[in-house]
Amino acid sequence: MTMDKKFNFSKSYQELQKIVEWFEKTEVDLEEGIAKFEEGTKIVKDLKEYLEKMENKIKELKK
Amino acid sequence: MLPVLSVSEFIEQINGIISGEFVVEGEVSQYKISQGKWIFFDLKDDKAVVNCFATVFNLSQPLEDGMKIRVLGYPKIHDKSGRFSLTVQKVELVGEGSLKKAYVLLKKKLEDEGLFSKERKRALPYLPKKIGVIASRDSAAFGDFVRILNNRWCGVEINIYHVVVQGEQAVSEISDAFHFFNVTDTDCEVLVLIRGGGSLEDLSAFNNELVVRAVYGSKIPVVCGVGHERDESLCDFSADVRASTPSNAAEIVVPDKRDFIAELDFSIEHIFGSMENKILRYRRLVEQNFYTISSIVEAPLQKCRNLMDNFNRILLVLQNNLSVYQAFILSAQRLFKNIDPKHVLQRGYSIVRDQNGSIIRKANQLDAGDEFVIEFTEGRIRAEVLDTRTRKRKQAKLL
Repeated sequence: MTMDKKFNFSKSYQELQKIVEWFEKTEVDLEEGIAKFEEGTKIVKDLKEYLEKMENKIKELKK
Repeated sequence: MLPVLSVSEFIEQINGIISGEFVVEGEVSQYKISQGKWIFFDLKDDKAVVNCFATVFNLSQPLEDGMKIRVLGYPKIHDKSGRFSLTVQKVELVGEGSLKKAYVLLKKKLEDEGLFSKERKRALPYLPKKIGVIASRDSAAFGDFVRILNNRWCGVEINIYHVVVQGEQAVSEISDAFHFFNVTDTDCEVLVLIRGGGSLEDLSAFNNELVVRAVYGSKIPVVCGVGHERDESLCDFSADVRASTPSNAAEIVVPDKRDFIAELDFSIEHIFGSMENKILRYRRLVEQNFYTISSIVEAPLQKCRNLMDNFNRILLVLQNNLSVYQAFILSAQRLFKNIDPKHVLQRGYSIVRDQNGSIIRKANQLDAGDEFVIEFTEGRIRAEVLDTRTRKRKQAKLL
């Protein structure tokens, strides 16, 4: 993944949470499950990559 | 000759003479608030006492009898009462004791007002992108905050609003900072108010009512990390979350990357486990169904198999019997072949029969002149007896 500015960390993380929640449901369609699992794996990979590459920025505000 | 003045003129002149600002230090006594607006108290030392007057608006600092304070004000004789008093513009607490008392008083007042109520505490945003920090840019507190934040998390924009955190300007600068983040530049998702440790006097800005109210009034959730672990400030109580130190504030606003990654791994493991479990369940289900179906199908098949086995067994028995019969028939055939009279005829023997077809075995069965038939292996002839050497038959007849 190219770490462009469009990558939204919180949104991706929320997506992952949704996927995890989806799996919490009792009846999971196997085919859909595999697709979601793949999606989740990709998000985790992206999130990890982001965490490795990004740094914090400090900006002093002008009064 | 002195001029004669009216009372009003006299008071006006005196007020003119004594006009100007003074700073007077003394102990508070007879403190009281009238109609919720006017404050009256005496300022005294061992030898003297002076009346003081203030408005609630001017005096943000709650006072109590016995507190040592420094008053900035101007003296005045009031027209209507003729009383001399010091009109208070500003009060500064003197000594640790007064500060402590003031702290306790203000704490009680704000607590009663509900500023510290737990019900109004808001949850902090998870994974904020933009954090507003109100601190001294050169302080160790800010340095610690940034260091811990960098260790833990990334991709955050830290907007530092530099303020002095001690002395005269601190209160207004900190209040302005809150105004700035709430009105001018409202992008920050969480505000962090931090300062290193110090004495009660050093931390006085963080116990100031205006600052405490600014923290309380912020639309953006506030984390307050002032001083060391054991220090507490009133801002701590009015903030949404209290951090024990500036470093702790960083720990509160962002998660630890390592924990987060572990959580991510756990999520994937969880999903994987859940999938695996589901697949296992399906497999079991399929196996179960297969077993059920196969047992249904298997039953008649088994019957059929048993039937075939029985049939084969019987067939075998029959086959055995057949070969026994065959052997018997073969030997019988052979036997019959040997005893077939035709077979004997072939060897040159002939059969003699009388006219009735009965076989003649003895010569005395025929008499001369009797016709008889000789049967050869091929064909037959009729013949007549010419002579018989014995007459046994006739003799027997005679007898």
